[in-house]
Amino acid sequence: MTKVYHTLRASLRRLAASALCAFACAAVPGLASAADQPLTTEAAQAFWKGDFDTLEKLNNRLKRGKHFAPDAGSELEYFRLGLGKVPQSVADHNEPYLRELEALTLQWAAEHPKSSLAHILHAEVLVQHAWSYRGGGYAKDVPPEAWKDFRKYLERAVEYLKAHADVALTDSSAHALLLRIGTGLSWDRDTLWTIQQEGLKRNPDDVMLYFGMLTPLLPKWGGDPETLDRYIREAAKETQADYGMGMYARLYAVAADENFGHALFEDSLVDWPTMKKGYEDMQARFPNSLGRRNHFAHMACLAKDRPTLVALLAELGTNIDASQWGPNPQRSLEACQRWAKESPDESKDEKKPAKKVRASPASL
Amino acid sequence: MNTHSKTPARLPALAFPGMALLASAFACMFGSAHAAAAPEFSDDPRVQMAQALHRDLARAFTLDKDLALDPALRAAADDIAKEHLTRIDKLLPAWLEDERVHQSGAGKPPSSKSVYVAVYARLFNELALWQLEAGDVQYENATLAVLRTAPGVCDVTGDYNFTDFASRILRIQALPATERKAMLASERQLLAHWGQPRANLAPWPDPLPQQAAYALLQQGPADADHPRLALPPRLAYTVLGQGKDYAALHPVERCILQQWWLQESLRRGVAPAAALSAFRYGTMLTAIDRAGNAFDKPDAEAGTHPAGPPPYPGVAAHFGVTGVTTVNVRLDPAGKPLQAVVIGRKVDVPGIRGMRPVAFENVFDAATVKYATQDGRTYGKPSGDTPYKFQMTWSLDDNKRSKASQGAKP
Repeated sequence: MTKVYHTLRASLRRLAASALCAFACAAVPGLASAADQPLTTEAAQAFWKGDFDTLEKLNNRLKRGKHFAPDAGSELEYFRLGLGKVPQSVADHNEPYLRELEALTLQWAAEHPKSSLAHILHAEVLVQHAWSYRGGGYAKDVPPEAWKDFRKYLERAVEYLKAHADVALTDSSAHALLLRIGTGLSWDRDTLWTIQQEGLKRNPDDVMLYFGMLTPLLPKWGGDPETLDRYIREAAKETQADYGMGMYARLYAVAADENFGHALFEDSLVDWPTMKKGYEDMQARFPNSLGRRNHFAHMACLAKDRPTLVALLAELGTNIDASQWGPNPQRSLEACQRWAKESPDESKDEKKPAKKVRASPASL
Repeated sequence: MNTHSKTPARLPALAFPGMALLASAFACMFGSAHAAAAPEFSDDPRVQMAQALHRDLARAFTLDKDLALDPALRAAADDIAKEHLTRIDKLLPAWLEDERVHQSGAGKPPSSKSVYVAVYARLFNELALWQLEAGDVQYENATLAVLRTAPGVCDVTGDYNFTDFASRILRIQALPATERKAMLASERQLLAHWGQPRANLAPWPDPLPQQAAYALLQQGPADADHPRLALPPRLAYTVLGQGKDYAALHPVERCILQQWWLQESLRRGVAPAAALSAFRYGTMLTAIDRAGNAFDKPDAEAGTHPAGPPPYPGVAAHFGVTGVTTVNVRLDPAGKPLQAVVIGRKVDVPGIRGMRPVAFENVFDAATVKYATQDGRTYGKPSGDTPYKFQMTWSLDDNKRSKASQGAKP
């Protein structure tokens, strides 16, 4: 009988192992990461399930009005990020997967012809299909045939949105998508500007449209520092009621992330006092963003504003988040921490005035 | 069917050796989560066995704490589960005694293990019969409506070997609140059928829903050339993106595939009752599903010659299942097997009498298909498109004689 017992215990262990596997396998790829906002996770989960009704309800709630997270993040953007997770998930066989998503979203659009979201989702899948050919690497590394497919799918997305413009373009998410498409297809600035303005007419609180227009103005996309600076100042002015000068800081921070990196204060027309005021305005209105405070500290380091950096590092204490410290973030953080600890005499840079002496349209 | 409900105290004394160890071992047979919280075993071996059976059965009626249910529905479901377990608790001693008497008819006293395993098999089968049985018209219509339209009804949590009850309650939650009372009443009614033969059980769908679904998906994408419903993204990712076959899918994904196939079947004009029956077979947890290969010998495949008999499935051997499977093999022009499909199942299971042993009917399917399509196997040249058909007889006597735990030749 003891033998029977041990045999059954062994069976039990095997069963337990298979049960553990079953639990582990329950995870859906790309469903959520620790850093995801709850709305992002909710949207992604609903999309993975094919629960269009839930997605539609969420979109209807968010597509109008001010929906700010406590850290000033756009809930509409968190929702869109969730939607993007499904077509962005890379499968072993990406082509049949993406084609199935195209078919599904097309079916949703046929079943819900008056839903802007249904049409936008179909276009979104086409855009992600395009990027699956392009990839995220340098342009020089993209094979010529892949460029063709990239453009073909982006153009299909445009054609689709044009064909359903009466419904899709009632929703600023379509304009946000068109800005991405237009950037990929190198549309001219005026066209993109018009798209952004039309989107803001549909939803003046869709602040992500300001960020969407930023990308094509960056030097790496053919832009120049002067135009970029004019744009950022105008955007800051338009959003002053909600953010003070906050949008100035946020847009330049994105410009640093996407283009200028550690050379933001050398290669762009950013004005540090204005940027600093932008961060202070954001802190006064939305005091719950450790991420932004980390970013502020990093920018203070780049701007060689040691007192501000020292104060922010002290304030952050154990809440320092290296991920917010630009390219090669851990090393950037370490370098800034070292510089903050140096005495002013040790630093040649300290004797130099910060970039605020650079010609600034705001001070003119 | 004998459903008398004598209390353990009135049963004649049992004198099975080693009962205490056996009962505790079987209590752990399908997991240990509940063993730790188990009440003290009685000295009475009959009570020990009934307690062990209760514990495992309770797993199918315990709603996982993470299951997304609204509190009122959860409370109502817990009440139903409690009532049902209380009723079965009264039946179990009688079932054990019934089995002991039945096995004593062979002339020698049955072993404690054989009695226990037989009643365990009976419980498995009751769970399976319950999954297959149709409810009243209102219940059927409401269930179809949910499966047609509600995403997320497959999102059960907890122990995937025992999600029977949770799946049903999750479907009820997806219905309008006004329908809940009637649906819960129907659930009570269906549970009251435990222990009785079910009339008019539908036969196994042929082909199985998952086989039909995969065959359709292999034809191509959902477009004008291949009109069909598109898969929900999670399935599109795993089935098309990762190329997983049905067996490799997570239990939740298998359920989603079955739901999708029900929707596609309805779109194609299949009768709702047939589509729902196929869904029930597709999602039914059989003995194989619950036990997997837990009872297979690790080296069962080693040294198996293609021409020889296949290994006897461990679960079947454990529960003493015997029977005959009928298989159709599609052949290429040279007589090599392309695909095998089990089209007939006739099995006998100790402990299950007077009703179909549905929980065990597919216990030989995988082994049969594997044997029929084994590399190197050839059949005679096919006559047209007619598949080659043969039967496999699964006999434990042969199994014992060969001492290699193998089934019979076709």
